[in-house]
Amino acid sequence: MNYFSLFLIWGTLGVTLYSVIAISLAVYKISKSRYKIYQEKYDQFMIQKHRVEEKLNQRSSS
Amino acid sequence: MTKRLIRWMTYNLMFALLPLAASLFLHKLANKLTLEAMANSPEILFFSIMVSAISLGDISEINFIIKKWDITFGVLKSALLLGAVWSAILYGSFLYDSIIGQSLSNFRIQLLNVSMLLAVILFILSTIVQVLIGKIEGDK
Repeated sequence: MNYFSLFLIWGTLGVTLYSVIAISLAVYKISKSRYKIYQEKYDQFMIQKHRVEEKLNQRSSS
Repeated sequence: MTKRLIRWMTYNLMFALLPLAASLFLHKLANKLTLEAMANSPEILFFSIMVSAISLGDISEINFIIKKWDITFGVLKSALLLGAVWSAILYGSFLYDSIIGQSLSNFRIQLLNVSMLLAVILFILSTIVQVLIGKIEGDK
């Protein structure tokens, strides 16, 4: 096995390991409901967006 | 969340798998579906690049609500970016091997093995990213 193949194999294993860490963190966030703070922020943003759109519609219709 | 996952499976995954499926189908039609033929087609790397790029784009859509530094999203983004870049490097080495024309023994088979490993792990990672984004968005 030459150095280039070894580089590719070890590189892929490194990327895989890092991805496994990322997967574990994401699963932890989902299982412990840590995403809920973002859910609230997202809901607030959507409500604000809806209000702005309504105002714009009213202005354009009047 | 269900809507997002259905959209993810229907449009993104299906279209990402299309080149690979077409290649397998054509090889099957020509009765040349062997491990060597699989090793000579890099479509599996396109799948890896596509799923990671789509998930990176989806994370950037909800970036405005994420705190300045959130370890989970930071690691997710960098893992997806690393996965996409590494897939491109593997594709580059596949092309290099084709261009120099002196195929090293078992090089393509090894490349296929590492590509499959990368594709599976990036598929799992991207699906989990979609679940996380879907949970944040709720059913809207």
